[in-house]
Amino acid sequence: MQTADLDLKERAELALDNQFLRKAVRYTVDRLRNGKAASSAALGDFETWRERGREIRAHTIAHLDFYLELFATNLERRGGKVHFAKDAAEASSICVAVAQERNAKLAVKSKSMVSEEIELNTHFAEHGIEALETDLGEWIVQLAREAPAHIILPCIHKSRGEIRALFERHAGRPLSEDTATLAGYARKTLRERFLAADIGISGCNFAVADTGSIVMFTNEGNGRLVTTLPRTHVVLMGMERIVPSFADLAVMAELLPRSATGQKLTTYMNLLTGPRGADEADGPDDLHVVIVDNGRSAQLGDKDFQAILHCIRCGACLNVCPVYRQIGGHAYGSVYPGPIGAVLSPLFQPERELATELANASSLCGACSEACPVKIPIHDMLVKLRERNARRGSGTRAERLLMEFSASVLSSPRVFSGAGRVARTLQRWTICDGSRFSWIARRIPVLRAWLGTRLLPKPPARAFRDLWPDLEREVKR
Amino acid sequence: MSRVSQRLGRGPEARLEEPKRSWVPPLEPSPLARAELVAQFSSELERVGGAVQICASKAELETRLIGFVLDSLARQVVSFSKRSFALFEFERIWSELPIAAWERGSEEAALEFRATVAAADVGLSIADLGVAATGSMLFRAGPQRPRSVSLLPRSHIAVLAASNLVADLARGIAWLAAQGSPPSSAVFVTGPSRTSDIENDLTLGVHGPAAVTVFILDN
Amino acid sequence: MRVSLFITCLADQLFPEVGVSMVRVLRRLGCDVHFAPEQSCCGQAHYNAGYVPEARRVARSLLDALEGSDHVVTPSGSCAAMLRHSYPTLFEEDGEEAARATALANRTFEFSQFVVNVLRVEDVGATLARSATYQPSCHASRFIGVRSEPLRLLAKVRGLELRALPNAQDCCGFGGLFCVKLPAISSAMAAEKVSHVASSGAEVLVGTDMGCLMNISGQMRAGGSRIEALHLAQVLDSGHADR
Repeated sequence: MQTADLDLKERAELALDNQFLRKAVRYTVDRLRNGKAASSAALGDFETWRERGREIRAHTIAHLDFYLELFATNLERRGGKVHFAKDAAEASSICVAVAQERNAKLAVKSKSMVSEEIELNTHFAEHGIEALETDLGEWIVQLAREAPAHIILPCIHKSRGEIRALFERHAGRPLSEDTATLAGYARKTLRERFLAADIGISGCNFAVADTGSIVMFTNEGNGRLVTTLPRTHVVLMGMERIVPSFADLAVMAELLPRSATGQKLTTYMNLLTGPRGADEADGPDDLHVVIVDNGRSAQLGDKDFQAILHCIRCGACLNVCPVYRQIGGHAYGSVYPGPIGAVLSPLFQPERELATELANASSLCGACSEACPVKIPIHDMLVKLRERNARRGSGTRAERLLMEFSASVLSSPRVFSGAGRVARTLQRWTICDGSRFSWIARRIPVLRAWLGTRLLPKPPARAFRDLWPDLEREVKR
Repeated sequence: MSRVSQRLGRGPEARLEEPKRSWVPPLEPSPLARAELVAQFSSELERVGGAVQICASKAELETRLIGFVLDSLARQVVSFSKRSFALFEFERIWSELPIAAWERGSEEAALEFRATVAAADVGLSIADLGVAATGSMLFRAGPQRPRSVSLLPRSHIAVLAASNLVADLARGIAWLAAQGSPPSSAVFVTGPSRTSDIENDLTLGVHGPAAVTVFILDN
Repeated sequence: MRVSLFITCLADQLFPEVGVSMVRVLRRLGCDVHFAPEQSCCGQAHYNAGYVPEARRVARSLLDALEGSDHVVTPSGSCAAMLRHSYPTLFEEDGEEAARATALANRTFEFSQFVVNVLRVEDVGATLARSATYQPSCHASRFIGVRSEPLRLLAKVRGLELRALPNAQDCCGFGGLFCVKLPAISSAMAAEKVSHVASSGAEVLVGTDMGCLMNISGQMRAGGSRIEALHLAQVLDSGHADR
């Protein structure tokens, strides 16, 4: 679906009309958040684990220069090649150059949000290299030429009927729509491509500084195939993925899967350190790690936003967000959806228009911050982003005037009291609860929005402040 | 990199200066007795769709393993090197099963072995470690232990000594760290390959093994 | 105990009966209740919309109005959260104001929090023979930790049959200006909340925040529902001999 030219409100309305999507999203997030609740309870004292996770992330990010240097040194010592990319374009160019050096025609990919961020597939295509997504959900989304709708489960918006149709078109023959058949088709088809691929591209969940290891948490096994079968393995890594040591990893390994999918541990937790050894039967001959900045370092030293780099991309905030629950991922119109996306996208891509409107896609209920396994105050950051937007004058003129005017009224109790009386009287005489004279109400945008599905309360004749003198007498009786 | 130091308000020398930190190690639960570890490991692995066979002796384990593979009608089994199973003192397996064990050799041999693994029905491996709390097994890659044996075939069979069970993941990772410089690949495997990408409907074996069976030697 | 009310702009202008009930409950518990008519609003709507200078202007007038007060008690978890959670940040640049804001934050309580944790009372002697379900407002529960207090108070109301609210922790979609800025999303959230309230089978929806209650009840009434929305203070003020 092409939604690039729509604004947030329009994209949301489109999503709200899609009943399959809404049902699927609700079902999925309920499953994931119930899973998280159960698995974190099983760990015992989850709050202590969260605090440990926060400490580790805060410490690492506060000393990111030291740990990045240590990681790069250790990785190179183990025969890996380290590249730093300052932005998306540079990251893509590095990947293309590595692929071309190997004369690669086919790249198999496991899930990587950074690769979405840098639009790697497009760049590969421009250079005649096929980039094949191999995570089942990502492959489905790729066949449909769409973007992922969830960080962890990319294709929750697709029905099995749609998936069957996509696979049938790919296969050129009819398929039944049971899960086993569809997954079996993916296994058989993709396995052949794995064996033929020249290069494997993966993301990484963590990078361990004191060993130079890359750590990936996956369930399907495509992550292992991508990093085992092709002769070259390229890792795309956000520069903030670092943890200092294996002991820190042990804490993050308890937090990430539980928060993401509700599993105690994902099926595979893969620690990769350098390319294969000389006497080993399999594994890549060479390993490249592309450390991507792309807007990240700009958050360092910013007291309001540095903590966004603590994020471990578990998606727990999506699963509890009441806004995401209603509209799903695509309506955000950004690579990273949900509350975390509403913060990451404007910070990483401040030049994009969407950056300003995303901060509004929240009722500020705080469920995101409460769910975050490393305690990022996401809702506070959303408020800070709104402040930044307001300072830049990005609100409508009407909004700015309303804000200034209402602040004047509210900061003067006498004016407030008088204005309140006038407004209540007007409302009582005319539109009352919105059910009559609605044509008046519908001319006032704020009221129109409210009255779309709601009635107003019937205004009282006297405000509390008018009742107070009587109340005071009551006690003296 | 210099931008990172600069944003953090430090000079380039900070990159070489180990930051001080008061790292408090995770509170670890009290160690369990071996019987409890075996029971917990088994129930956790079964919960995620794995299967567990507990054997009281090496001879019993070998007999049951052979029977299990023959019953599965596997045409081709691949395994880690024969040497890597030394602890289990296998004798009959190598002759009674249609098995290709990895042996270090030329690059051509490696190429050929990789092709055999790609076509095999069963991969036979030995786990370095079992993690009771999660039902996970650790496989370190090495000259005797190819990665693809536990990955490509539809059925993965691992053998594990009960004495190599640890209580939780923190201990598993600590054990790995204690072995020194990590191997090129170390993977904690927790049950069969799984996905819920199609309408949240769980299915096993989409890319990795659809079946994971572990024979535990508890003597 | 001397208590100063922060009635909030919403309850003052649209729901004065909530304030009246709150005053009566507090007086029955022996409080000496005061109200400073110089107060208006906490500035939360401005702050959350990003209009910080405007928010500060409004907040400053509240700081003045509540100067010299003892315990400040408010019928809104959201406004209490604004004072406790955001005021110190809002005024952090000016040392003197920051100190006043922090002092105010420390003496401000949401109504149920004050009754249970400060007055140490759970049974206020109320009677209400109806079935009810409780909506835990997001800001009250997440930002200032009001979780068990309202339920403990409701459990002691004679005749009240308390029913579980499915997905209680999900926001109702009010969110201040959010509900008019993105009305379609807000309405969808409210619609789901209304369906959960209906499925609880309760006759009364109890809350601790008039913003949320106005939103949910506005949507319920538009849909023809007869479920009544009451503030916790109104429930606790029910069935007393002096009424």
